[in-house]
Amino acid sequence: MKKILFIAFIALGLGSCTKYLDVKTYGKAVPKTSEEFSALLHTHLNNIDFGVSSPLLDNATDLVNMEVITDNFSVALTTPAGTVLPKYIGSLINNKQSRYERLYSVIRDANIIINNMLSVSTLDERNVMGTAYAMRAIAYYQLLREYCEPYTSDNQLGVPLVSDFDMEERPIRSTYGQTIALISSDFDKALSFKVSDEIFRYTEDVTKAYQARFYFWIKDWENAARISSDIVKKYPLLNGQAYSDMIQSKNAKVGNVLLKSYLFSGNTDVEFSSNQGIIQARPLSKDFVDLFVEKDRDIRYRLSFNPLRLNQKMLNGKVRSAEFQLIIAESYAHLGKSDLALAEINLFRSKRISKYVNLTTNDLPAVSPLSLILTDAEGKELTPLLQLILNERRKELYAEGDRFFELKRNGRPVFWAADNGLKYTTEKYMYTFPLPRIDIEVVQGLIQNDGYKL
Amino acid sequence: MMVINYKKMKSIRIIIGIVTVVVMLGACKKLDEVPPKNNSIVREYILPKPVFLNDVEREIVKEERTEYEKL
Repeated sequence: MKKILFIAFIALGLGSCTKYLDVKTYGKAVPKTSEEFSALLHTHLNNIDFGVSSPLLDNATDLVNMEVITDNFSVALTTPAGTVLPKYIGSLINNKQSRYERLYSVIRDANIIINNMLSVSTLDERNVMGTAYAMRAIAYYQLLREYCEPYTSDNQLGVPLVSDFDMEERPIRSTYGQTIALISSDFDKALSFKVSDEIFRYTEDVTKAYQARFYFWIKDWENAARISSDIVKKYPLLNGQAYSDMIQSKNAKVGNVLLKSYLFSGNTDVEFSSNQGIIQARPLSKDFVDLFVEKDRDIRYRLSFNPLRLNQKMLNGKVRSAEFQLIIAESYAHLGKSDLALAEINLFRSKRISKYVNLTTNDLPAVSPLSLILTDAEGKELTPLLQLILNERRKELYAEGDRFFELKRNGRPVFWAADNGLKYTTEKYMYTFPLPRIDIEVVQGLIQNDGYKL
Repeated sequence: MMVINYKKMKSIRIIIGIVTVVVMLGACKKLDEVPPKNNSIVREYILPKPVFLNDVEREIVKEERTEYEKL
């Protein structure tokens, strides 16, 4: 009897052990259905919608930080309430390490979908896959723009490329050309899925807008102009009250906005209001305000700041068609099509300035020697036409997180800000943010950007 | 009645003592095997320190403030 019980006990024990190694397979994605995969995307999309800080689209805090360190603002005039505001890009450099990690977390989630969602046949599945490709392309584009030097050749340093979910992978930096190839391919794939459901945010139009931004950044002027023209045709420029309503809308997506943060009110409302207040602790620079030569005739004059040069513009991240009209004008200028460029910038100005009279080549203001930007994106001496276009861009996209990257794109000028008797200098190397220190230490052969000391 | 064999107990104690000492020394074999030192606990990059404004720069700032106070 004892023997039988003993054998039965052993058999039971061994039987219960048959699946003891049946744990989730290491390195494999858990989601199975398109709903489960889309949950990975919606975490990021919700952050955009509610204005939670997202590496994909700036919220009010990101915008304040990246705006007040540019030459649009005067650090020397900051009131005591503005002591928390960064003084120059150096104040933000170390935080950029976590931004890098957050961008790769977007790429990780996109990779899980791209490599593991086997069926892409239903509309829902196509929306999920298209959005995953778009988000990966945009994340890599942001990495390229922020953590690599402005484009000069395909051989310069790109970013580490991760295209599969593998926790053990330790990639080193690719070349700029390889990074460009991946981004181009991802944009093309994203567009092939023709995402149309607004709930996925990165619809075909939004993806095309980012694709235009990408081509513009890598100086592919032909493609930048071509895609931007499609966007402006579909989302024509606004003027008058419709323009004001669009700029000053906090939540509603009105006018020709393709994508925006703070689509919904929520827990971030307090942070939003606080930023709207804190930015007023630093007045705008005289140099910037003086660009509005037409003063009240320019609708942006009163929309952007008050008589004390304090910000009045609503701080939400957005993608809107005016940017693409400016891309068209600048791309034509770089392509040597000056007449077309002038026509496009005249059209743009006519939508912003009342009683506008078109400028001709002979009327263009001479390049100001005091301007911070004196060379264009191609490294050539700035022309009056390009100065006009860049000045319009500076006015139009003020408080939308653009100026720092304009400076980066056009010569990375060195400039300083004064605070409390001290001089803080934005050096050329600071336009390219550092890779995280932990990555440099752990990944053998990973090259850090110039200028950063441990 | 149980008879305690003190002689046997003594040898057991000696064996246990020797084993304990060997195990303890054995555990000390990799005394230096601590987690690798990782400087990344300090994640900051060193940036140039701000410098004092010179006379020309101080004058520029002064003019900027004077101009603004007139608004």
